[in-house]
Order: sequence, then structure tokens, then C-alpha cells
Amino acid sequence: MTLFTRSRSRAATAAESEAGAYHRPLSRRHRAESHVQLNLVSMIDIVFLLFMYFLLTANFTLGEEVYLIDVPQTSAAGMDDPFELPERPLTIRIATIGVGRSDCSIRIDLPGLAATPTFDSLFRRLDDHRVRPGNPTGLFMKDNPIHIIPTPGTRWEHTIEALNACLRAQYTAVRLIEPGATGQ
Amino acid sequence: MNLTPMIDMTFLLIVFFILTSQISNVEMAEEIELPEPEHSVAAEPDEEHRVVINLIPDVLDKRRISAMRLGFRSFTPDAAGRASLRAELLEAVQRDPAVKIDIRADRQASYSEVYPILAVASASGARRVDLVVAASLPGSAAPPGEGDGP
Repeated sequence: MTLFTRSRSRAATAAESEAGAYHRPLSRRHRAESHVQLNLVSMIDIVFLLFMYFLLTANFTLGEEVYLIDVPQTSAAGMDDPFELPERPLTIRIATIGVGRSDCSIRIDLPGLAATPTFDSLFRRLDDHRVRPGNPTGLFMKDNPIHIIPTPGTRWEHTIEALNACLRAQYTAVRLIEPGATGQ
Repeated sequence: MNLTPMIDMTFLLIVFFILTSQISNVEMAEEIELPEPEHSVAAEPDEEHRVVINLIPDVLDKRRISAMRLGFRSFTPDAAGRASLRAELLEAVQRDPAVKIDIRADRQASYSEVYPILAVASASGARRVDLVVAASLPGSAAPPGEGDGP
């Protein structure tokens, strides 16, 4: 009985000592082995979700700009001032004459201004003749209507260049007229 | 083999490719080479309330327009096609009165090909018609003060 008790006591002591091992602080060797591991699968899932979010919310028209053309509203026609004198539009005629970017004939329907060799010179002339303080050669108010009349075969890029020259010279009432129109 | 993350990834990739292909088709027709005016005073586009009309150039002769594309719908550049386009634009304006129409045309397109579509867009009652160009390269934009009003 005594022997049994002793042996049980030994067994109990051994069990207690094993159980106590779990509560003891880890040794340095054990701590080095138990490092944190990342779960790559969920991380890649999240990365793709973020990628798609930014893709969908991104501005896809980067690299593009627009010229704003105000469309005249027909309902506003009756609200014009009946005593206002009609302004004669300044007409610019353009025609593509070659395959190059600058191969374009530009002509302003106004004595003394006539032909201009480039769109940059068209801008200079329009800018020089815009009425503003300190400009004695000013002829046209900034809201003076300007009609751009390209020939039917004029390339779109030349039409846009002419429009850009007018807007660059700060004219506000620029219109594209049907191809080959005789003008006013 | 763990199939769950693989299926996750596959579905994500499918959705990604579907969305990107649709966006590129609807908004930006890659066949169109936009004009790049020198010293541009064009403004940044407004992304909201806009309808984009892509004028697709003919493969053999870029001066001609082979189709007009509005979203997923394509129209022939003849009188019947323009009438259908006008009906679509009128419907878009009725749905959203603040809608703007962006017109993207190839730099080599003839003015006689583009003008009828401009006329259709103007007649649709849209608040504004915008002509889309390529953004100016750094240094080629107009100097500050030009084109922004006195």
C-alpha cells in the first residue's frame, strides 16, 4: 500500500511537472521558431479588390481635353434686344492644301487682314484686333461673332486649330459653319 | 490543392477584363487619333452627365467616317443613321437635361463628314456640345492668360 502510494505519488509528480512545462516561459530557442506568418491568399484577394476599386474610380479620359461649344437655345431667340444692331460676323475660311500638319490655307474675309500663313499668325492678328484697353488697333469686341467656314475637304485637325486660334485670342462667340458656305 | 482562392482569383480576373474591355469600347475608341492643337486652350473634360459620340474612321480612307458609335450602339453615317442617332440623343436629353455631348473625331476626318454629326448633336437640345482633342503636351499649351477671358 505504501509502495503503491509512493509510486502514485511519483506518477503524480511527473504529471504535474509535465503540465507545469506549458506554463513556463518559452526558452530562447522556442521563441525563435514561433514567428508570425502572413496569409498570402487573403492578402492577394484584398490587393486585387483595391486594384479594381482604383481602376474603376480612375479618370479614363486623362490625356483628353475639350472645347466647349455653347449650343444656341431656340427658346432664347425671342429674348434678344429688338433694338440691338446685328453684328457682322468675322468670317475665317480654311482649306487643307496638303498632307502636312501646317498645309492649310487660312483667309480672313476682311480687307487688310486677308491671308495668314499659319494658325499662330491667325491668333496674332485676331488678338491684335481685339478691342481692349490700351490697344489702338482694336476692331472687334471679344463677343463679336466669328464664323469659321472650312471647305468640305478640310481636315478636322485644321478646323480645330482655327477654333483654337480664335478661342486663344479670347473671342467668345465662335461658331463652326457648314462646309463651303458662302458666309455673310 | 486549395481551390477556393484560385476560383476567387479567376473570378476577379474575369470581372477585371470584362470591365476594362467595356470601358475602352464605350468611352474611347482606339481607332480614333484625336487632333492635337498647338498652344491649346481646351479645358479639362467634365466627366458627369456626358454622352460620347465616337466617329470611327474608315480603315482605308481616314477622311471618311465608317460608323458613329454611341455607347454600345453603332450607326451608319448616312441619313438613316443620323436620324437614329438624333432619336437616341433626344432620349438622352429627356432622361438628363444637363447632359453634354462629347464628339470624338479623327484628326484626318473631312469636315464635310463631321459637320452633319455636329448639326445632329446641336439639334438634340443638349446643353452643350464639346469637341474632344488630345491633351496638350507639357510646354505646348497656350501661355497663362490666353484663352481664359480678359
